[in-house]
Amino acid sequence: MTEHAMTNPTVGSREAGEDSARSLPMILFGVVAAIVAWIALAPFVMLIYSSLAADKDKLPYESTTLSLDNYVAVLADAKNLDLLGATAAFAIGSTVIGVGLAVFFAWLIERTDIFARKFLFVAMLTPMAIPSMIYAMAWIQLCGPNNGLINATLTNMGLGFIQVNVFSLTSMIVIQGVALASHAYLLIAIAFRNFDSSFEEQAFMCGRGKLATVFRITMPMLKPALLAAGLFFTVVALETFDIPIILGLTSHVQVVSTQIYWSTHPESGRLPEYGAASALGAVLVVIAYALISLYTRATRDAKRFVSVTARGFRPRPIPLGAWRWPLFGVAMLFVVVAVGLPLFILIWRSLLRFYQYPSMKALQALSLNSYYAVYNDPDIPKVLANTFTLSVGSAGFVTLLAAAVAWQVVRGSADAGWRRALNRLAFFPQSIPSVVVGLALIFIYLWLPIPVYGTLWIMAIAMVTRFLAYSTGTIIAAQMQLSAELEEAARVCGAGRAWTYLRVVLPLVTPAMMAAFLWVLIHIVRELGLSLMLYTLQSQVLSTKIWLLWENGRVADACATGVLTVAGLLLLLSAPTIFRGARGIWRAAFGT
Amino acid sequence: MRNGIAAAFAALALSAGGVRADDTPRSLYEQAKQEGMVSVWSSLDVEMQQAQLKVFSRKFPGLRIEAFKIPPAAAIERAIAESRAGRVTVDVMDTNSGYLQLVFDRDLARPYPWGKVFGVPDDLVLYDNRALAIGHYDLPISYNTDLVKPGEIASWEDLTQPKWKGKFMLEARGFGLAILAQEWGEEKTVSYIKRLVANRPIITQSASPTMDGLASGQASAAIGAIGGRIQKLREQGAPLDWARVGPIPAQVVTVFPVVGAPHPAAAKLWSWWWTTPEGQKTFYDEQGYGLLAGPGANPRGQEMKEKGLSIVFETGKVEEGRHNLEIVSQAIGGLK
Repeated sequence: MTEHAMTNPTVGSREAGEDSARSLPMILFGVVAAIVAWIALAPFVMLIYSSLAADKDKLPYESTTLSLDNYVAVLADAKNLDLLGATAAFAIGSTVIGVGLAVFFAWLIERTDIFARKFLFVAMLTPMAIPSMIYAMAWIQLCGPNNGLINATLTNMGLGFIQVNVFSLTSMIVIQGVALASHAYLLIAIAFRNFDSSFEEQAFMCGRGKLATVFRITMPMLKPALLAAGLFFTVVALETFDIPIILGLTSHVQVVSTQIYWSTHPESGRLPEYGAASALGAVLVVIAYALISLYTRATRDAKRFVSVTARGFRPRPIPLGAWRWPLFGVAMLFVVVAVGLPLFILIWRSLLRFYQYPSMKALQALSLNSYYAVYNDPDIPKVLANTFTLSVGSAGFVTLLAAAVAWQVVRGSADAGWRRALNRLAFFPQSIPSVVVGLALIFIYLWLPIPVYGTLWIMAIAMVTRFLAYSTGTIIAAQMQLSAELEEAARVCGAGRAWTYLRVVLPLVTPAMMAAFLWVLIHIVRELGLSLMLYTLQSQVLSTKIWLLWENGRVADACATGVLTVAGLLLLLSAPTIFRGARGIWRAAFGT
Repeated sequence: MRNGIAAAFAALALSAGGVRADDTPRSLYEQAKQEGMVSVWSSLDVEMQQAQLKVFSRKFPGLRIEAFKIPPAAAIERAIAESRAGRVTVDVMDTNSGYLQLVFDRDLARPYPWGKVFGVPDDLVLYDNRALAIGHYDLPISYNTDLVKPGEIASWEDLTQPKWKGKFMLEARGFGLAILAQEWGEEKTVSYIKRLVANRPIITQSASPTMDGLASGQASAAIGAIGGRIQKLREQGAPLDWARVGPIPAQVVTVFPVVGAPHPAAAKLWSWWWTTPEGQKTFYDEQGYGLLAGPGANPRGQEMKEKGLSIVFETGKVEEGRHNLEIVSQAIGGLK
C-alpha cells in the first residue's frame, strides 16, 4: 500500500478496488491459460520426448537414450519426399474441395432463398455422422473394381468401358473432400448466418451484381471464418488416416498419417514405434504452427471483419430468381451422390448378413436380424449411457473452455503476445497423433494420484484435448465478427464485465458455441483411435462397440449400429426444427 | 551349504512366480473364490467367448469373469505402463506368440509348473513354463464359393497367374506369408510376393475387411483371412471356404497370467482351463479356433492331417519372426 493510501483510507480502498478490478481479468486469463496448458502441453511434451527416445521396442518412458535419430530418419529418407508430396496433394486437394463445397452450400442455405433449406442443412451434415471407416468402405462397395454398385451397374448397362477407380489418389482426394465438406459446412455456416446483409444491399445499390457482391463483399468480410476452416481442415486432412489407409493401400499411395498409423500399429511382435511417429508428428506440428501464424497475420486487423455491430444487423436472404431451380438441382445432385448413395449402402449392408449386389434374390434375403441383434445386445444400455455421458459432458466442457479462450484471445486484457500464445497453444493438440495423446494420458494418470485411469474421465480428458482446437477456431471466428462497440455501449450504460459478457456477447456467440458443441459431440461419438487406447469393460462406447462388431466379423451388426447412430445424430441435428414445428402445431391447435 | 542356497533360490523363484509348494487345482480354486473374479484382456472375440465364460463359470462357480477385447500391442503397452506404475489391473492376457518376447523382456510373465500342478501336456507349455499354447490361427488361401469352384486353386503359385489378375485380396502385413518364409526361405518368398503384387491384388489393412470383402464378392480369393473365422462365417451362410492347399501357415495363440495380477489364482485357473479338452471344445465350437496339431487337434486340424496338408507353425525364434514380417510387408509394399 502506498504512503498516500495509508494516510487516506478512502483513496486506499478505491485504489485497492481498482487494482483488484485490473487484476481479475489477468487472473481469469491465468486460469484459462493454465487449463489449456495442462490439456495441450502434456501430449506435446510426450510428443517431443518420444520423438527423441530412440530405443527400439521400448515405450518412450522406458527409453534410456535420447537422440535426434528419429528426425534424421524422417528428414533424410528420400522416400519421405514422395510421402510429403502425396500428403500435400491429398491435404490441399481435399481441403480445397471440402471448404469450396462448404462455402457454396453455406452461402446457398444461409444467405439465399433456395428451396428446402432445412432439409439441405440436415443432408449436408449427414456424412459427418457416418464413421469415416464405414464411409470409405461404402465407397468401395459403390466403386470397387469387381462388384462395386456403380461400376457393376455401368457394366450391366453396356457401359463397362466407363469405370470409376476407387483405389487412386484422385479418388482419395475427392472422397476425403466430400467428407470434409460436411464438417467445414458447420463452421462456415455460422459466419454466413451472422453476416449483416446491409453490406450486400449497399453493394447492390451501387450497381454490383450478385456474383461480384459475393466475391468483393461477402467473402472478404468472412475471411477469418474461411481461413480458420481452411487452416483447420488442412491440418485435419494431414492427420486423418481412415480414408487414405483403406483406399491408398491398393494403389500404394502413402501419406504421412498412414505412415504414422503403421508405425503405431506394428506387425506382430513389436511395440508401436512412437519415435518415428512422433518425429513425423512433430513435423506436422511445425506445419500447423506455420499455418496458424499465417492465419493470425491474415486476420490481424480484427475490425475489418466485424459484421455484428451496435447498429444492429439483418441476415436477410438474397433472392436467387431464375437461378433457384438450377442451384437446387446442383444441391440435390450433391446430396444424392455424397449422402444418399453411401447411406443407402450402409442401410443395405445392415439388412444383409453378407453383401449382395441389389437384385430380386438379394431383396428376398433382406431382414432386420442385425437390428434385433443390436436391440438384444446386453452391452447396449451401458454403451449408450457411457456414450451419452462422454459426448455431452466433454462437448459441453470443451465448448465452454473454447468460449473462454476465444474471449481471452479476441478481447482479453492480457498482452497481445500472451493472447497469441494462448491461441497457438489451444491449436497444438490438433496436430499431435491420437496415439501419442493416448500414451501421454495413460502415462500421466497412472502416475498421478488422480483416480481417472480406466474410467470415463480419462476418455473425457482425451476428447477435450482432441477437440479443443476446432471449438476454439469456430468461436474465435464468431467472436471476431462482433464489434467492440456492443460491449462499450453496455459499459457506458453501467454494466460490469461479467454482465456485459453474459447479456451481450454470449447470446451473439451462442450459435457458434452450439455449432462447436454439435460438431464435437458428433466427433466424440465417432472417435475411435483414442477410445481404443483408453477404454475398459466399464467404459465401452459406441465407437468401440462398432469396432468390436466389425473386427469380430459381424459387419451387418456393425452397419446396423452405425445406421442407428447416424439416425440418433440426425435426430439431434433436427431437434431444433422438430421442436419449433411441434410448438407451431401446438400453438395452432390450442392458441397458446 | 551349496544345496541349501540352491533350495533357497528355487523357493524364491517359485514364490516370484506366485507358486506355493502345495498348489493344486482345488487349492487354487479355493483361493480364486476368495479373489472373486478374473480380469481378462483378450485379442479374441469376447462376444463369441460368452459361451466359454459360461462353461468356465459352471465348472468354477463363485468366480466372476470380466473379459474385454483389445489389440495385442495396445494390451501389452497398457500392461507395461500399469506394471511400471505398480497398478496392475489385468490378470490374464492372450496373444499370438510373436508378442511374448516383449512380455518376457519386462518380466510380466514368470515360470509356473503347469505340468506338475495341472498336468498340462508338455507340448502346450511354452517358453520355460511362462505361457500356454491354447490354439492356432491358420491363414490358408480362402475363396468366394459363388465365384470359385472347389479345387480351382490348387497351389499358392496359382494366384500369380493372369487368370487371377485383380481378382484376389492380399492382407498388407502378410502374416501368413511371413510364416511360410520359415519354410520357403527369404529369396523364394520375396520372389513369390513380387509376382503376386504384379498380379494387381486388392490390398487390405487387416483380416476383417479381407473376409468381408471376400464374402461380398469384391474379390474371388484372398490371402490373409483366418481359417477358423472363414469356417464360422461359412456355417452362418457366407459364400466362403478355404482352399485345401498346403503348406498352411499358422500363428500360435498363447495365454499367460500377468505378474502382479490382483487375482493370481483365478488367473492360473483360467489359463489352464483353455488347455483342457472341455476348454478346447468350446473354443472350437464357439469361435472355430483351437489347436490344429497334437492329440487335442480340432476337426479342421484333423482334416488337414487326413488330406496330407502340412502346417507351418509360427517360429518361437522372435527375431526370425520379426525379420520375416519386415521383408514380407516391404515386398507387399502397401505399408512403406
